[in-house]
Amino acid sequence: MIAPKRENTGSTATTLEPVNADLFKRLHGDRSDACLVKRAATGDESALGELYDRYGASCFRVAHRITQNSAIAEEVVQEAFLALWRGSGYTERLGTVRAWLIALVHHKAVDAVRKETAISRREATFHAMGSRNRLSSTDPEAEILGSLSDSEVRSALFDLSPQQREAIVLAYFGGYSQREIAELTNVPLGTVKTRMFAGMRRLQIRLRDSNTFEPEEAR
Amino acid sequence: MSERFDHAIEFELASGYVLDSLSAEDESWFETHLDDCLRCQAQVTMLREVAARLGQATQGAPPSPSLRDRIVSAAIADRADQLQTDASPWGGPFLDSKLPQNITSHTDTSKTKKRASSPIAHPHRRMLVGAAAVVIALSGVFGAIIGTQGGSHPSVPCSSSTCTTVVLTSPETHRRVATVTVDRLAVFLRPQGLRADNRRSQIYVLWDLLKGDSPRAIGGFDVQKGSFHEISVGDLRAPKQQIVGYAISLEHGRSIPKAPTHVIAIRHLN
Repeated sequence: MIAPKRENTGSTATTLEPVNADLFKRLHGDRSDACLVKRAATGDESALGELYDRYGASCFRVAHRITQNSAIAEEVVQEAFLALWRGSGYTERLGTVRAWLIALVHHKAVDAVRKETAISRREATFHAMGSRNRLSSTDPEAEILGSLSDSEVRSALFDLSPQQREAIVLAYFGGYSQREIAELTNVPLGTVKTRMFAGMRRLQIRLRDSNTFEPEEAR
Repeated sequence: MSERFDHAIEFELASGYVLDSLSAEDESWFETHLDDCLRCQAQVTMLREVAARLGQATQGAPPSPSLRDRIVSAAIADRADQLQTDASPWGGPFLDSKLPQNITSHTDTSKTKKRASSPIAHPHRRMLVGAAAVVIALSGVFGAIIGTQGGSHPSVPCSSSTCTTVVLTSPETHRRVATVTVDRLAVFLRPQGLRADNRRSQIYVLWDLLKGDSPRAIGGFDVQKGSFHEISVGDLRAPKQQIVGYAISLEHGRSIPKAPTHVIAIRHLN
């Protein structure tokens, strides 16, 4: 995949000096997410810290929701931010830094839970959630949906068919594979794939024009 | 990319991919497809925004207050490690966060191995394998003539009067980073302190420096983990006598820019 060409820095000198983080900061006052990512990749730890301030808490909540373990979730978040630090290949063409970072955390969290010891822990928690909620007649899916802070997202999920919603919630918040979802819900794998696709498509349309996200400060 | 397949299949996979719920085999196939399909890249980018909204909406307890400091400290320590290994004559360790642009590769090595031996499940993959076989056969013919990138062919010894070698060093550590060999107009490079780059999101570029003119890119190249084989980079565009130095930069993305942005090695000729 070929990334867009970088801007011409206008260098005409035959003596070349490495670009350093201080010079970058002096020349560029831009504090956009993309700029922070670039600065972090060049070794600017203040930029890394600022990215954490913006997205660290959200990343942790995603990781914790999937892993159900604070220590593992923090490890996942640390790995994700270190990936940024090491020059992980983010470019603006890949979308927003927020989406890219949360996707990275989600990916690593799912990877963590698919390792042997985490699986049994996650299943026990998921079943425990069900048994706790049995008294109030709600199920884990309903608990997850009820806990979402974004009313627009909650509303968009409830606009889906129950089957589509179930597939997406189990995948995204539970970290289950399509095959596992097929087994849990007793439907063919192909049906799960179709439901997931249709559900994400509807969410995409529903949430497309309402991206009101504001970066939060973790401190 | 072939257009003879119904893209509904790929878009269906894109949804599962963004939700990290594909099987290892499907994920492997889709990642390969994603490298060359702009439509799917755009689809994944859009769906990733949707997934991020789901993630953003998740409530829960905050992380421990010390996490921020731990991350920054780990980053600083990581940088120190990188500087140390950059000086290694063997090129340093492979980046463990070698993330493709579209965030792939679960860290589970068993999945990586499974990917390598995964059966051909899709007609498109069979076509790719066939094409790869043709390329491999042809490269065996041409490889001995022009040299290979990080391949197994031995380097051409620089003993003739038309051949010169130049050692490039890091401006920060002054340690050897690479040796450039110029034979007539053909330029070869042997990495000796370069760490492996992320082949999906970075590229090394070798530049020639001309008196009174901007640096000019000779060519881009990649460095494999632990590799010190000679790499064919490209050809000089100016007579050797006009060149006053060489430089190596590490660029973000896979395109060669008009000017170097992050110079990591340089040598001025006397």
